[in-house]
Amino acid sequence: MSGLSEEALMNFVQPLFLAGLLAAALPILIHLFNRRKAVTRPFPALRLLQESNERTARSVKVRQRVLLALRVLAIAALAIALAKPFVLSQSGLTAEERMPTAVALVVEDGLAMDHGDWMDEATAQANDLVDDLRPWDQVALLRSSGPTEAERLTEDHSEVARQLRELQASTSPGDLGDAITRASTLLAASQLPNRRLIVVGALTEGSFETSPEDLEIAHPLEVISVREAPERPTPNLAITDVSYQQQGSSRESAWTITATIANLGDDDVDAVQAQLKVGESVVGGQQVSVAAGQESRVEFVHRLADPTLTAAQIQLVDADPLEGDNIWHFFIRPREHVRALLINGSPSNIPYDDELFFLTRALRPGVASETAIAPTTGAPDRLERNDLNTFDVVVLANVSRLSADQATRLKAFVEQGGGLLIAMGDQVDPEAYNNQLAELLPRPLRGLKRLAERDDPDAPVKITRLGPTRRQHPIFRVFSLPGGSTMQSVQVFSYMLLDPAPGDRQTTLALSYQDDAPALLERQVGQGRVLLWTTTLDRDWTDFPVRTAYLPMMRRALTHLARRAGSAGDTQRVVGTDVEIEVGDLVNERAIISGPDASRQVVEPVDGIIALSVETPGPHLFFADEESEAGLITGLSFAANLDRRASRLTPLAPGVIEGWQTDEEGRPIAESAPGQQRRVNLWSGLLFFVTMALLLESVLGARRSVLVQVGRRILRGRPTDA
Amino acid sequence: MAEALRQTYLDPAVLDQLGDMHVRARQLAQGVIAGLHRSPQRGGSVEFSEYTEYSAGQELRRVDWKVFGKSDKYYVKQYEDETNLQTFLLLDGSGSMAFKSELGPLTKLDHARYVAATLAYLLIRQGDAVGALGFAETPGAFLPAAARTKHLDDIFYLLDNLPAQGPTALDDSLRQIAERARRRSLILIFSDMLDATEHTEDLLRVLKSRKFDVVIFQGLDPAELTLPFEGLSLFEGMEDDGELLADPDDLRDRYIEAMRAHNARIASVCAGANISYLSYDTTRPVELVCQDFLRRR
Repeated sequence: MSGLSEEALMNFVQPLFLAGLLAAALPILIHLFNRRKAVTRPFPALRLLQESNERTARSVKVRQRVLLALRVLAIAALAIALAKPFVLSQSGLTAEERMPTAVALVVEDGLAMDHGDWMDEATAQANDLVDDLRPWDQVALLRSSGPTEAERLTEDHSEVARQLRELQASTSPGDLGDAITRASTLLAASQLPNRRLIVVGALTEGSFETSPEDLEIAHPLEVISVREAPERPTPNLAITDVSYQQQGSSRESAWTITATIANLGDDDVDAVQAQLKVGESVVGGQQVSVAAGQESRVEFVHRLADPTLTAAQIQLVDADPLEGDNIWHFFIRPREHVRALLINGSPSNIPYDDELFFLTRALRPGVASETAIAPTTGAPDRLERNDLNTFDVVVLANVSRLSADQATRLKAFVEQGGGLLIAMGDQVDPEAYNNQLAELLPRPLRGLKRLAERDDPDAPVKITRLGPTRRQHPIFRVFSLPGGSTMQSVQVFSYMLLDPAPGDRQTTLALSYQDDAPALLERQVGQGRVLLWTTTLDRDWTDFPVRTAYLPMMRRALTHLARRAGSAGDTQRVVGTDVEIEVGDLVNERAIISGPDASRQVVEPVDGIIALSVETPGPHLFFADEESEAGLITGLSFAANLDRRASRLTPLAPGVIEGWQTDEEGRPIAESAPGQQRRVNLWSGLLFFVTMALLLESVLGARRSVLVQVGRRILRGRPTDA
Repeated sequence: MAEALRQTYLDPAVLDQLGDMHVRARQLAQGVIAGLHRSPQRGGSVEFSEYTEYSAGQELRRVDWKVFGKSDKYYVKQYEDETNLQTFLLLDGSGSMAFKSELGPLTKLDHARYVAATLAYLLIRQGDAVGALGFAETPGAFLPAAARTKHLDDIFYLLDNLPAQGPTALDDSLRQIAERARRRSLILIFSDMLDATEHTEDLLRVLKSRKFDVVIFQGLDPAELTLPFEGLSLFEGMEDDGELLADPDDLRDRYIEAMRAHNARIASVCAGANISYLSYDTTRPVELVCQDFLRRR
């Protein structure tokens, strides 16, 4: 009985038979009874008998006791053997000792298994299990990465072995809980008497999509961990987020790129090299330290040589064995054009009289100049739509008043980084503005100051002109403004007077009139900026629109106000998920998505939606209809990253796994798993002992005379050497 | 009574077989008279004692032809000097002699009685004087030797009334017979000799030295020689000598060895003292035992 664990306890299949142990007393009773039952024989030569007895008594007594012990032991052993004793052993589970078994083999093959040699270890362990099966056992291979067509119980073990050979860690975390549930369902439908559910893997927290505590398995469960130390958390660093932001508004400005690095282990990590790669070249590197269980941020500043859509990645160099989450892919998207929403407060059918006539001319795209500005005009009700965030700047041109809803939306828009240009005009109701836009206006409006009418002959005397520009203001900083010299000859007939700003309000004066009244004021609100232009954008109150400087200044102002380009609007795409992209009418026939490693998907839009699944991490370029520069849609191109759920390599708590096989009250649902235990039957050994004891008993109990004769025969029967 | 006893003891077939046997005493070889019965003692007269009927096997020259002429019957003359052979039968009537196993046809005592009775009959028919002494716990009744045919009744009576119980008084009886018997008597000892001790051996040597002719008939039951019993047995001594609980199978070899050693010692004592020693078991027919004895005479 070697190889039994020390804590092995004897159990009985038929414990009732243990009552037969009472029969072990029979030989003793018979022995005692026989003494009384001895035949009385008168015998004359008693003296000689007594002499003989004295010489043999000792050996006879020993023999009698041995015989008695043998009989007692044989009966006791027989009774125990009938009760079918067995012990559970941890060793040497041989295939021959098992009933026909249905084995559901769940192999964790999620992203986390890419860690070091976990996947190789898992396939090796699974292969050993399959090798141990007997021909009539059935086995099914289930992967945590998701169901396959071949997921069924089969006696074709070579097929399962082939599937195992092809097994690789997938690019998604998978759902081990779902795989275990599928395995449980498969086993429930099996007809075989013995069922085993075996889970091979690292059982990381991240491999469960839903809470692992809720799993319930009604089959004997065996867990084979591929970890070297199953109870200790595995150290792991992961880049969990990257954001970037354009600094300044000009096209040549630098970009700030911030990566968030999480330490998911139990030990602090010092001086890990984080690299920024743009295209194929490493453009920056920094050392980063992360405390255990904490996050650190590392910041890079990079100036794009070419302000176009640029693929980049941040990488932790040699940080840990799980490399998939040490890389983060992203696109830097320079703003191609400023999207401006122009709200017309005084529209007119006569183009010259329209409030926005001059501004739209000034902003008209297609002119080769600085940042193109794409204007969209609309009435104030346009502000009530949800698409405000698709614009970078909103211009209120001579809008009389706003509803509370419009004002609220506008305020939210500015706070989230949008820009707002408020221009005055004869429609403006200062009181309504002060009430509704108080949180946006740089200074409250007091009222109109009319210096002169346009047709007033004394106008040149009455009017005022634009004063000197503030060079420190970004709008005028690079002052090679075309027609900049003519700025101070601009005539202003009327302007809006302003009240002083409340004490805590920060405003910047960018431009004033020659009578020192403010012409252009700036205020920072949240992430965004507000510019207040105290005269009109058309020729009602000033002749500025027909001056040379109008066009560059307006463009500068709008560009300055425009939302900073950055990652805020980017959608995070995760590998292994299905993606739906709204393309509207951008795509006519097909969309071509070109991924890394020359992977390519061609998808037809359905109801203006492109549906695809992302399989590889890295930059994906989106082309409409043709794979060329003309077809490239930068706004829909995306970078995909691996699901960071897989980065949680912490092993499941043992209590969780135990809980799978117990109900709410802690009672086991199924019989406890045999685990790596086998039932060692002891009755065969006992029966062998009984046989040997009976044989020995017959030898010892045989008449001495018979034994002597047999002995003599054997001796005589020896061939003698002639 | 005597008739009944004869019916009991005397098997005619036995007598037929023994009838032609000649009993001689070696001691008388010195003083045998002319012919077979020349006496070694000087001055001893040879007187006619009685006629006895001729029986087959007797020498023809001893037939009295004169009497044949008168009566047409064959008579042989018996002379006085031929009757000086005195025989004493010593019979062991102790408890051990009452033993009979399943293997034995008779108790040892019965067997000894038959042998003794047969020999007594033959001897008295031959004209020898026969005496007897039965003994058990103590030496019992002593019958002096006499050659009368009537005397047989007394001998048979004595044989019939042996107690067959209690310990044996072999030594005392030997001592008594040594005192009472005439010299040169033939002493036939019928016993199982199980209680023979060194003292017994000494006494036998003494008897021999006193010119007694001693013959030991050791009759044993076959069971005493082979211990054939099976199963646990409580052996009880037959002469108040305790008991023993044992499995005979365990003791058999050693017992047989001990029995052989015991008998061998008696045999060697007998050989040393020139004593005839007949050892047999009770399955041996009485006639054969008698013949064994007579052939040695």
